[in-house]
Amino acid sequence: MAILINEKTRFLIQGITGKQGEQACQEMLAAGSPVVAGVTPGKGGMEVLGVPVYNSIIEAQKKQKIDCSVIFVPPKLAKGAIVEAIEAGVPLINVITENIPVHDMAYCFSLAREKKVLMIGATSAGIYSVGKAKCGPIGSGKARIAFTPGSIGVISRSGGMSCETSLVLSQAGLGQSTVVSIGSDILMGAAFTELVPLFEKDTETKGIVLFGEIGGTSEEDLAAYLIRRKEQGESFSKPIVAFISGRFASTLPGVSLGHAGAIIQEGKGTREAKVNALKRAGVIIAEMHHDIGRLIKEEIDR
Amino acid sequence: MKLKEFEAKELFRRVDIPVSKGILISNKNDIPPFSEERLLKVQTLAGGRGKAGGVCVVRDAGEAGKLAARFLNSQFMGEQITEVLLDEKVEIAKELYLGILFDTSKRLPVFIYSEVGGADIEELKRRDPTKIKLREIIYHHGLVEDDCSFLLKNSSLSPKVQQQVKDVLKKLYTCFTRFDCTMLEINPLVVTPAGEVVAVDAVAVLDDDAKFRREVTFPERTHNRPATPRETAAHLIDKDDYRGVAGKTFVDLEGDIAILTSGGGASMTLLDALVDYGGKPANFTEYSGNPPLEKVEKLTRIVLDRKNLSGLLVAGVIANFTNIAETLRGVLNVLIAVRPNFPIVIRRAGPHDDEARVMLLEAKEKYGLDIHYYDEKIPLTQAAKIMVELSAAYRNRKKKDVNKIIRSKNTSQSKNTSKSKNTSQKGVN
Repeated sequence: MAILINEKTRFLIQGITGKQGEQACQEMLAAGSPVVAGVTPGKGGMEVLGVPVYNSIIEAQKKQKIDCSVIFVPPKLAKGAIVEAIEAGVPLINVITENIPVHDMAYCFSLAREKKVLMIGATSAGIYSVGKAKCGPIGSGKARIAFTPGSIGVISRSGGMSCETSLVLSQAGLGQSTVVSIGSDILMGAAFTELVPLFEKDTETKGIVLFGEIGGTSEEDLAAYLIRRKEQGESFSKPIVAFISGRFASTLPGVSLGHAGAIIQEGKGTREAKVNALKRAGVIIAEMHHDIGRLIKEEIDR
Repeated sequence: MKLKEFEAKELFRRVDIPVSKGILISNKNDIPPFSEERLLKVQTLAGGRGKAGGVCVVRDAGEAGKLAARFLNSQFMGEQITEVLLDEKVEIAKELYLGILFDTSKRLPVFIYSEVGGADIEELKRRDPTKIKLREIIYHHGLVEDDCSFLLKNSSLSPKVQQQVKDVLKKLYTCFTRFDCTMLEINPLVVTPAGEVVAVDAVAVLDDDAKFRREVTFPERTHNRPATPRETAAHLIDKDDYRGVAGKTFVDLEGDIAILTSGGGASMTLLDALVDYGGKPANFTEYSGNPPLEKVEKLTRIVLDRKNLSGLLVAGVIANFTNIAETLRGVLNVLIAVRPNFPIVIRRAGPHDDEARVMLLEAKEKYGLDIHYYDEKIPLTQAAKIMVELSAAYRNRKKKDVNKIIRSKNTSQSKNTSKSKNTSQKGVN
């Protein structure tokens, strides 16, 4: 088992003829993930690394079933590509593109909700069900070193740190079931609250590790969800360890440190607020990033 | 990017939201004569200027000029003030609040409406939440009639005024989508005794990622304080070269460890660890997205252009696309030119990192640079720890050297020694 993607998932890459799309395609194929089609409007009939390129998703769907679309289309055109995937009924969409205007994403999220499509990203590095399926550039050339198959579910708001977090776990002898890079934009797709229940149901996953950041409310939303579960007498059944970065960034109010979402505004979304909310909800906080391995191990062995 | 009041009002004017008539003043001599009461409003980015004395009633040009002279080109609430707005003093029968922003957990825009405007909306929410109405907007449907009716349900306003408010609601939503705003606020929207509505204040935050399609542009700003020369220089690196990003974010800090990071999440994790271990960063900056060697060189030169450094930390997440050898060659070129004697900790992994290792080790031997190179086998946070320890040891060595020189100076009064003492001391602190 794993969540979101596994060895049966059939992938389509939108923007496959671009440099990053092609590199990810190569890595996904090397990891044994079936990339069955690519889409770049106007380039239908081409092939990329043996994968047929179509002008549209509908055209690709005539030949085969698509379970997940990975999007590398540049920011100015990304909205059109995402809407195409939603309307074609692709059940899972992973948006890798960075710097997509917020209003474009707001449009996509409201449409995706209506059509019951699950979106991960934007600004995601991808999804990796270790040893089963790889979606997007996540881990890239070092994927085989950073990731090891195992029983820890990882959800990270930082693309790079999804790989580093897995690396720290691997070095502590803990493998991962699925690693999900959810992005850190002001508006983002499935976040902690939507993904932890999937890990809870996954029999392979024994514990969950989160990499959170300042800005936004996804950590606070998760805390509220966990407390709601407890009040309903159905406490969350698996241990969760979280590392929340941004102690240093908090000393620089109003300065964006690379991530659009990591902007402290009006005291909301601070590291302190997130850490306190998660602690109250029973989540273990790692003060140092490299401590996550030891802490989750202690919880699992308990 | 947050706008100032006069800039936000410019957006309102473009969608025909009625705004108070004001004149923007950036030179006190530009104030025209007037005889009715007006308001002089300091143009700040931060909210709460009214309480801080940034909005004053003025009766004539002389009074306005004196106040303008006091505010202009000086600091107010930690900001350098470059404009004041000489605004119409609108007569108030009632004040309303209108706002729109994205709800990050619902991933939708939310309209906020209250007929108790003028006050601090967060304070009102604590005191009497029933006075505030919230309405989520289904983005792909847009603002619909039902949304307006919901917000104006049980309104205390006359039907004529309600119609005008509804008109402003629609125009505000148009403004929100047309100019790619992430937040808009009218507080207050004044209802005059004559039953007209006028926006007398305006707040707008723009989405930087939508700059390419916005039909109106505003001057760039990143900090509330004026940029330092290093910050300005770093921000210029990306200007004429779209390949990768280098120095887009650069913040001058007080410490003694120069920083070059890659990857947003990693930068923050790294700096958290560095500070936790007792290190003090001299700056914060990033490069990413496989920038060319020249851009990394430029940024490294700026990062090292600082006295009394006791270390350089170059670290980032395992790269997906960035050529590690090429970018570190940029760092190395500057190190070879500057020849610092402080420790240099590098933690980078990704494409071509094997080449980078060979190159760095060669340079270490050849140029006597104190380089410590690590790949992914050492966690990021560990690299921060090593940097802090090495820089502390470096400072101690320096201190001992100085003490030695002081001692030798006490025994022999040679001019030569005292000169070398002065140069050494520059390197300490």
